[in-house]
Amino acid sequence: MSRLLELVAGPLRAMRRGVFWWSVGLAGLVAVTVAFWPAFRGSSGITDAIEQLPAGVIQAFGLANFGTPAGFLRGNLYELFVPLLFAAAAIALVNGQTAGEEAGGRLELLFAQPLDRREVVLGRAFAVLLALAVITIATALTQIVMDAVADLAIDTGRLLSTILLCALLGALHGSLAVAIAGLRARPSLVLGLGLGLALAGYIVAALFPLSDVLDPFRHLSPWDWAFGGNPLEMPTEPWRYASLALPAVLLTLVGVEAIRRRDVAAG
Amino acid sequence: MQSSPTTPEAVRFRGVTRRFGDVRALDAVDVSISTGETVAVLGPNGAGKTTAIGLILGLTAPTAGSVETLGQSPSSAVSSGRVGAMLQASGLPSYVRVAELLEFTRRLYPEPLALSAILERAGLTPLRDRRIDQISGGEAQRLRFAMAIAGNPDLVILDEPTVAMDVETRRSFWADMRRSASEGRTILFATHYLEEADQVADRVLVLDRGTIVADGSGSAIRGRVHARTIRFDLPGADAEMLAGVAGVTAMDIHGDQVKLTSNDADETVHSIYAAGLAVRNIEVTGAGLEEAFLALTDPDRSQTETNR
Repeated sequence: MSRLLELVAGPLRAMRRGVFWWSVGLAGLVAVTVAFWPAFRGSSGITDAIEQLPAGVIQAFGLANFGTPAGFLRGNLYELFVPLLFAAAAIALVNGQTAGEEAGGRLELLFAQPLDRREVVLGRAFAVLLALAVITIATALTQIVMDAVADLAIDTGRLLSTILLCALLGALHGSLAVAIAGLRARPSLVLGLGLGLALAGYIVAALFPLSDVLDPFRHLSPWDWAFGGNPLEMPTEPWRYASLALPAVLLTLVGVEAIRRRDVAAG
Repeated sequence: MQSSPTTPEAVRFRGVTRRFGDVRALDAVDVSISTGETVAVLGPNGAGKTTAIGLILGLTAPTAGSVETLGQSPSSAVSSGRVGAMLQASGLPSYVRVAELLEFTRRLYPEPLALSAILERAGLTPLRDRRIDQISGGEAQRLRFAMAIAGNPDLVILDEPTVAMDVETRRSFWADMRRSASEGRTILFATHYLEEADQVADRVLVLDRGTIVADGSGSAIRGRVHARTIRFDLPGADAEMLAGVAGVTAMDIHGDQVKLTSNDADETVHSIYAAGLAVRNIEVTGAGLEEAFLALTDPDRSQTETNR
């Protein structure tokens, strides 16, 4: 096996349990949620009840048109929970492979060998990307199978676009974690700041539209870049994918360069 | 060993200072280590030993001054595969087997040892297929050593290499290091075991509070200290009374056995007999490296240990 391949395969091997449980968790969430769709299908009572809620609550949790397939999936899964879980998975996996490994003295061991630090960190970032791909495929397959089982009629292309946007949003937060770990390798900082910024992004995208003053600033949130075009019901413009992927690449490079320049020591 | 051109200096520190916040881990250190030397670095906790090793390996950058490893920047020397390191706090990946990790490591170097030779030298042949999360602390330490020698490096850096090793493993480890040194390798090790430094190293560097307080052979360092050790048996030894005997700077009492460290052995022995103490089996020897180390790193120390 070539050296570069091993620098990806090793971390993947180390993450295999984590990837399995994140996949099971997300697939389980999707399966259980969609299983309830027959009870909600075309229910005007639920729609009427939701319309009684304050506009802010409907906006924040994506509850509009809850009786339609797209509204049901958005409100229950793709407005908050699935994207947030993708972000959390990416941040946790990156944290384990960077700041966690450094605190455990395993990065120090690698950096004392004839290995370029950039190779090591990029290998780990790529391994996390592959791990996210596995979680994405598990989520998408479960969603498609459960849609058929529960007779939830939704455009598969738009569904896959939405799940891909969730994965890219996760990758963006994972790359943010790479940058934080590159600048300061403290596992608690990477987890806390990474998850805090993910939640802040959601709040900006979900709640700022309720205020005329704040509404223009919702475009600062990657959640808005990802889901501002209502991907479950409308075709996704290509720039939305790029707006998540390009900063992810840049943030990863920032983290790689930062760790190349700074001291490395076991915590 | 690599066939690349050798340099007369394996390690060179020029005015190296390394600060961590307000703490000076190393303070304007100037030192040179020639190729082929076996050098022990001694020092109490926090003396700067691990920082110095991190600087030699390029894991840490100096705040001021410069470090050269094998005539180049530390990171270049490590990248070239001429340096092997065994680090004190380094973790090991838990998901691979011993032979897999060593095979990965050896292939990073341009002229590595054969896998079977590495396993043999580290005493890991019976463990080659064992998962790393199933080996003991001593075995993990041998694995770290195996990783350090896997690339057949010119310079071997060892940070507390024999911690957690049993006596037999420790003996074979140092036998292997002596053989490596006789082949012309430079070996630099930090240790808390003073007898190892005394027995293995051609040269001992004593670090204290970030500065080198002694540099020479073990015997030369012992010679810098005028202290002598006086041992005798004394039933019912009174620590308070013995502490007041002329010349005594430290004392260790275990049951009836007393060990005094004195900066004037003649005066101390005279005072003991003048006090009418019923001492038996009295023996006066030169200071060991331990006494020298204590005197160099904490000259004001007056230590009394009683264990009855």
